[in-house]
Amino acid sequence: MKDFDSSDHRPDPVIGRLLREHLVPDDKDAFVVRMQAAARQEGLGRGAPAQRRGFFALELPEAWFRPGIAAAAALLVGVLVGVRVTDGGSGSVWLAEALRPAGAPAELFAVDARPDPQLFLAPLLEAQ
Amino acid sequence: MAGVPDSELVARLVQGDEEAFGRLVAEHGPAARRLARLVLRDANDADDAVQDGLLAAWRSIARFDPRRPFRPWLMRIVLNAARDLRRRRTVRQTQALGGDETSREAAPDRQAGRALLRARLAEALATLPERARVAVTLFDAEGYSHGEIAELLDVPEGTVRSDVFHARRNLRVLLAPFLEEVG
Repeated sequence: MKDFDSSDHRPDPVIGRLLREHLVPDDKDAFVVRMQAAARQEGLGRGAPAQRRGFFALELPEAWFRPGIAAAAALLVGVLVGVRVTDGGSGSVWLAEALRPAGAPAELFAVDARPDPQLFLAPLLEAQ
Repeated sequence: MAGVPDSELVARLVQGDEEAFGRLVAEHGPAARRLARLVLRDANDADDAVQDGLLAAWRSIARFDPRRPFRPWLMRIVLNAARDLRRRRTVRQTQALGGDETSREAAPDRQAGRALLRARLAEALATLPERARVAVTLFDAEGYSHGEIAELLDVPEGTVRSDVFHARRNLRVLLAPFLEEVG
């Protein structure tokens, strides 16, 4: 049997006030600050610390950008040189061209032909 | 940002607005903390649960239907967080509900009176089943309707009416001297 009275559909102001005033301490502002700090720790929101936003966002460019670019460039050059060297005769010519001192006869650095001693000695004799 | 409706704050929260989050916490935090304390009966555990709930709400804010009221949605998340935490932890009974809360600025006799009232309130609430504690607090302190509480707790509306009725009756008896003062 239900013995509700007519006031049951309305909040009880006295009990309500008692519950509101005594269930939660008066530290509302501190609690808001705590929640905002926790959200930042979790990487939520625009104010989140950089390290929580992702590895590639800020840390990598600041710490590794220049060494990374240099390493990548060196690797690229190495790969290209390696490809050319292993690419038969044309690669040898390309490498020889790259290493040839300015003014030296190209034939001297060709690896697919034995160098002619006269070619090697001719510039020296001419200089004297 | 005072007076900004929840719908606008929620829209800002979707964009990651930390200030909007703070405003929502300020607005709904006290009710969420009361609810969590009714479930966990420990102030620190309750605040931890509210934190879990608020952060979970932010993470899933994109799934919130802005046509619906925000507070019941948030309260359901906080209630689930509190129940999860209760399952994960052995609830510490050494610290009574509200027992750690003292008004630093109050005079000693008033402070003692408030502490005593809190202690009695905690004892009185402890005599009630969890569902009744939640129901009477949501109805009398937070202004929820029986239907809203029924939806939140997943019980029939008649059950909520009965819970509120019996909880009030017990609280009125156990807190009679204080209620006369407050009233």
